[in-house]
Amino acid sequence: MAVGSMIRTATQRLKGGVNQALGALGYQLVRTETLGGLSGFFEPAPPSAAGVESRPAAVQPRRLTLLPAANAAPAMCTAHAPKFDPQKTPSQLADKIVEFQQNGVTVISTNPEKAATFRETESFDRDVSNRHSAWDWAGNSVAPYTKDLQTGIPSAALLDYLHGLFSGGDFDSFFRGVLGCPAQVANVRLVRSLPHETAGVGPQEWHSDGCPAGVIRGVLYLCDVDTQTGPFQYRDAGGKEHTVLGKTGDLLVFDATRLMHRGSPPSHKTRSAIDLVFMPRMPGEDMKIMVVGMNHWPADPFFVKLPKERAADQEAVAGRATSLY
Amino acid sequence: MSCPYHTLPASSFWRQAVADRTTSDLDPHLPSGLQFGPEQRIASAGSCFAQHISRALKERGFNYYVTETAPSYVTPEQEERFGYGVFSARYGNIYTTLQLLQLMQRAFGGFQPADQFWTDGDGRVFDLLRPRITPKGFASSFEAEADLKQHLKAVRQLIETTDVFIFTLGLTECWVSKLDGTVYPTCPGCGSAGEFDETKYAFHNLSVTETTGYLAEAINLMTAANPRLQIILTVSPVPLAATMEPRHVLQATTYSKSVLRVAAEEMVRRYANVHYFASYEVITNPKNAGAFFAEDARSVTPEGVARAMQLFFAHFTGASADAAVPSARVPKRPAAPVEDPKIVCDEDEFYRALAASRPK
Amino acid sequence: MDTEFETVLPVYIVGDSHSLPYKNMVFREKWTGAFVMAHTKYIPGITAKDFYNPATGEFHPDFIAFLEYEGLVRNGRATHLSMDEVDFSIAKAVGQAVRPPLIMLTIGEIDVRGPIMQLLKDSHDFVPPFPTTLPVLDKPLVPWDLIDEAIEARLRPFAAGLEHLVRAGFKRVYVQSIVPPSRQEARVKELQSYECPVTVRTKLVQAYNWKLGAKVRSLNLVMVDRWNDLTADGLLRPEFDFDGVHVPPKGARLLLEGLIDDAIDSRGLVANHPRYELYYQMACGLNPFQAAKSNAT
Repeated sequence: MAVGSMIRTATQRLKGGVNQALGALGYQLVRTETLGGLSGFFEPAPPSAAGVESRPAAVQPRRLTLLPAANAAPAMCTAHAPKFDPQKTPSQLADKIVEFQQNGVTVISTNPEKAATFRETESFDRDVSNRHSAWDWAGNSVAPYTKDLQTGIPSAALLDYLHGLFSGGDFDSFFRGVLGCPAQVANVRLVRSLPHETAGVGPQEWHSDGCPAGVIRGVLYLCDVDTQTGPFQYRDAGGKEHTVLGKTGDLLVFDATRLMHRGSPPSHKTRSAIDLVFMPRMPGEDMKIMVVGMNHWPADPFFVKLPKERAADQEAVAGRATSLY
Repeated sequence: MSCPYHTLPASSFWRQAVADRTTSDLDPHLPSGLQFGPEQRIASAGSCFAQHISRALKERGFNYYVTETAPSYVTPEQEERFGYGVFSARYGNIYTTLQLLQLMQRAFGGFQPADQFWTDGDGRVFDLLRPRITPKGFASSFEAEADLKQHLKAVRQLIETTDVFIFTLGLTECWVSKLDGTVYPTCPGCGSAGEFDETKYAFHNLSVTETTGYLAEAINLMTAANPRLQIILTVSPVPLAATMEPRHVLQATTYSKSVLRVAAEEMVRRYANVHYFASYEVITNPKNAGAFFAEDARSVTPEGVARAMQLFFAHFTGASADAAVPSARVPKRPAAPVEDPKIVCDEDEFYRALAASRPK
Repeated sequence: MDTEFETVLPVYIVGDSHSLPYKNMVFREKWTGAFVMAHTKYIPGITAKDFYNPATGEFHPDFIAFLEYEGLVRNGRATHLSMDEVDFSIAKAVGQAVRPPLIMLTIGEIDVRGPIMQLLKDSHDFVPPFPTTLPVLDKPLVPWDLIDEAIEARLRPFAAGLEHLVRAGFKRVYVQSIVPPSRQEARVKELQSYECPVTVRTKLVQAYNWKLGAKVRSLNLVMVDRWNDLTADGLLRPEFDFDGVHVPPKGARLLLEGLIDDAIDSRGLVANHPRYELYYQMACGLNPFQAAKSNAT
């Protein structure tokens, strides 16, 4: 017990110390209640509280229920967006903002020729390799978990196109409408789904993503998607299934936490698409397009800044846009 | 020579047998030629009213014979919901003599309906010949057909091995398939499973010849399968809830009950192993002036059911019929229909659903 | 000391006696070569119905005791990044797990063998709503809906418990499918005092797993199922029949490898949600650090 207590004390001191050091550097990285708790740790505890703390644990009956996780995903990812009023904030995509806020999903048409071109020029030359040589996802890929999905590294041309597309006024106002803030692209993934008869696995199974606050998803169809091409499907609040068919160039934007969804398994035709992750962007920052690979998620939104010397970085990856992959 | 009427018992004369009797001691029966005890197997089928007989048999400790039994570990509520023990097998209500005949023909291999199963929008499969036997239908056609196979096997076993079979005749009006004459317990798509389609289904009101003929055929089939079989026929006293005939429902009821009563009489005359129990007379006789009907003049009151059962057991088992039905002396018509909620009645369900679906 | 210890991946396996074949199991998994070690807890007699009480929100005391013993729960809260820290770095600096632990529940077999199978015994069979190669015997059939209700009655509280676990942050909970039952009719009769043909027992386990799998999937969790590896001609392969009830350790190893196959594909939805929330609020021009004060005024 004494050793355990010493370890706990040391742990608390380390946590407090780290936070104090961060605070001294001007960072505000800890929630107020946490900060309060940690500050209290360095101050003498009130006698009554100390009395409770020192009570032997064995005396207390075991708690048989579990408290909700403090780091649970939000129920919907756009909680801070004010209700959109198309009268007050005119936008070319006003109806799409309203639709997203109502249903958690909308479809926006983009340039079909461009999309068709990328379908032919992008290289879907990699497996979706979720099995890696290390359990922390830092290792090399070892094996794909399905042969029915292919991915690849998006080309610089595609990333430049996406940068231009999402920097445009229409999309800027769209994201401000649905998120309440400007957005950036946290990940670009090429996904080619081959037709197969077996049940879908991974993204082709019904699931919700548990995306963090402010993070929404997009799928840009690079081909026409009909019922045989494995269209996107989602279930509304009442559990009713909806199938979203689309044309080449259609961009589907959806709240992947709010909606149970899947890319249904294509039965006869190959579906080519770009899977996008949108996340908030600080006002005043420039639009960024990040590529972090098929299986990665930006671990910390404060740490996903790209190096300023983009040109040099581009050189380093042989002509490709900046990648964290 | 003296007038032959002088030799007759009191029961043959209206004044002594009816007019001078009180409701509680009026007994329209003569001593029965059939007696059974707890050791005999008693099976039953028929309309909703027939369920009173099966319940009374069980309550009084008789050997109510069931060949399609519920699995162990189901609750009484589940048993009832899935049609176990309501009758001797899970055939549901059998309203017409043609329905009884076709059940026997299906059980003994002579008849296979062309239009028996219906699938709803959720993919659940219903057996139109016993639409309420699984409340939500079967999970698949395969299950429906496998269950039917076991059901018909249970019916065969029932007929072959029971000692007594009680059948309550309920209706003459029915709906039949235009394909092959299959008769349905209720109109398909009217408040129960199925989808009404006038090109597939037709209304038919059985004549006295048809009713009698079908009943005789059914009895022949049953007796052939089990030569020891004794049959008790009764006629349900419950009037029609509605008629499809273009005439007053009261006339239609009179027609229907008359035909059924004649058919029962005809069978008793024709077959030595067929007996009649006068539940119809017990409930509807003029001396009672409707006392055994509830306020809707259709539902039989618990007192009426009790009196009928009392006489049934008195005549077929030798139990005492002297004890008056205590509640028969209480007000003639209860304020509200007292309907036993445990009676599973397709016909009532049909009309309830029909009323609910009518445009306001 | 600069000795580098090889890390071991713990998998926590808790439930009825089907957790026992995993006891002391350590092996190198095939993808990364890392050691996997099973931490097991046998809770005698635990069933799907008494795993969790939806009315009180309480779990079986022995289950909570196990989570506490293994350090996965403290003061009613999951210990992996469930706490106050909003920074992965701090969590890592203090040695705190950031990802949900891999937990597998082996619960439900007693429910199948007990109250659900009582519906059938050797007197009845049933037709499941899914395709199966097993025959329908010439016996009276219990309607599928009755079987469904019986399974549902046992599974409902269990699924509610799984949902509670997910809410508490345990997003990498696996449920072991019920293993195919023994072909040894005499042994089964000896164990459960009534007979039930092996095809009916096997079909019933399939039905339970069918429903269990659907419930587990609806919670974004996974049921570990190696049915095809454990069976031949639709029935349990004799080499995986340990004692008439359990699979031997080599069968358990197969199942655990199935869990690993899935777990390596799944990050367990790891994201630093409080920190994203902070960032999102700041991006929206809100000051998250003054939220409490502004609410108070």
